[in-house]
Amino acid sequence: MNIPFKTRFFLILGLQLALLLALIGSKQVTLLTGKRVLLETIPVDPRDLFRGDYVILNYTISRIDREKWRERSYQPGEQIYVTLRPRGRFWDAEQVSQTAPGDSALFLRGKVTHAAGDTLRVEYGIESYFVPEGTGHELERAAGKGLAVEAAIDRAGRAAIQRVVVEGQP
Amino acid sequence: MQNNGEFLKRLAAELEIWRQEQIVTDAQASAIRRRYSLPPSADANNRLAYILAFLGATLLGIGIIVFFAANWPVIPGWAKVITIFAAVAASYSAGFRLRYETTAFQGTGNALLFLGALLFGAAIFLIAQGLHINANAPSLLLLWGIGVLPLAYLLGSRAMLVLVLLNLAIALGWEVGQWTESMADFFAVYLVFGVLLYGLSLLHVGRKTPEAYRVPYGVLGLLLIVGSCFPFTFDFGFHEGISGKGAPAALVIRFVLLLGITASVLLTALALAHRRDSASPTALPEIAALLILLIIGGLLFFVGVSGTAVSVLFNLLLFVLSIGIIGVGYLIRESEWVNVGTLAFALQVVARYFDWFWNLMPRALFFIGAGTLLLLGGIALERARRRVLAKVREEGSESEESE
Repeated sequence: MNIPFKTRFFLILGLQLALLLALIGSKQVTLLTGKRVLLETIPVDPRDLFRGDYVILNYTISRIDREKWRERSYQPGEQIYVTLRPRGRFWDAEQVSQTAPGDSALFLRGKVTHAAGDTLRVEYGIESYFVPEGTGHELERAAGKGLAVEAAIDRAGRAAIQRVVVEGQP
Repeated sequence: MQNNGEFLKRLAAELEIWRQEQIVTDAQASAIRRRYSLPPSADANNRLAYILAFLGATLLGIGIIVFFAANWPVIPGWAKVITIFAAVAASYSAGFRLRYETTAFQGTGNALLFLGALLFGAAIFLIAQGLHINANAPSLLLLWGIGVLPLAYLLGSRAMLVLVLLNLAIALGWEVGQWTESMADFFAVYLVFGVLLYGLSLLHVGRKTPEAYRVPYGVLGLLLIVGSCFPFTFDFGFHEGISGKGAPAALVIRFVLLLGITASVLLTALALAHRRDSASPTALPEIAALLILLIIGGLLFFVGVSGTAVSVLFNLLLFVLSIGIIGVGYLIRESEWVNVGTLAFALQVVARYFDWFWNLMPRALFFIGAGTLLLLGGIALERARRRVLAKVREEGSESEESE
């Protein structure tokens, strides 16, 4: 089949736009279908990249102590599943496992970034919060005022940031 | 001889028509021009206009990226997405129309097509910003590269191919940096990636796909190979404590996959070199050298480096590599190879001067010596480089005469 040059060009353009839509869709599905939870966090280090200003979010569940992952040791780069349970207003890590929990428990899929001593450092793909230019420090100043992130978590354990909450207010 | 001259004149005219009718791509037309030492096309004479158009497209692209990166709160998210989608589609469409459906603004058309590729990248990062996808996500660069690669081949655009290869190279380093602090792991991965790119350049020799693609793959591959070997030539304890052992399993799996892909590409290049009449005359020694570098990359990653013999061995390796690269450039008539080989040689000479004389000489004398070395060495290297390049061109025209 000899596809004309112009058709091939616009097919590839369509493919590029489809890739962009897939990128949007992957997070939107999580936001629309996921369970809403509140995660306690501390913003650190507003950064300025080509992509704009953002703050790095350091969640309480980003650091998991040994008592929650007794069964085996983990290495950086490994994918893990962190079961969550409510603790007051916030959700906290209950247990770490290598496979997805089979029951109806709410869990997050994460990747181990550091495994030293009795602590695991984990990333869930929701560690960057982009803000309008020059407003990163405002969030940093709000750190002591009950800063939290409202996130949506879907059934596969993928998370997306819904909004940042300070003292219960968006 | 006169018949040959008429043939070349006719070929030059026909080639321009073939190019405009898209029977051959720009890169293929350039390869044919080089093969028969034809003068550059009328388009190429407008090089300044081309360069200005590309600079304009690049600046415009950066401006749009920075504008959206400012995350201007006045623009709602959906409006930003529609704007960037429209910008990508408009840039590509206008570029295509000017490049292929008119004759007057082909340079501007090329620049707009390249701008489209930049805006596609901007769109990825804008969407990631709006959805708060992690900033340290090399997968976004990978997505940009994968999206642009088919277009680079369809349009025969070397600028787009370079953009793709740079994205992939940065994404790879970014990914490795997340899993290891070992310099040996880092340089081993880049060494193997350089071997992979050079192997891919060999697959473009004598193929129907544009032979001119050999240059971006080959040059970036060589730069990565030379750049990854260079740090190990120093003798001030840089490599002490560098360990390739104990890399996380996630990185080991990725590295083994990279080794496998690279070995497959080299074996394919070897099979093609046997089958094709048009294969590069240097293909076999090139593949042999690449296999040795692949083994060195594997050793660096899995065994690590220690001991003072390492810097001696890597100095020898880099010396042989720089001479080899210049030799291959001479034989395949590619000036870029000669330039990279000369650069590698010059870097090594300057580095060794600093290594050996920093502690031995009074500072004033050291800097006078360094200045003299740079000036005289620069002149000598430039003369040698020009001589080799002149021979490359001379050999090229002689072989065409005899054919």
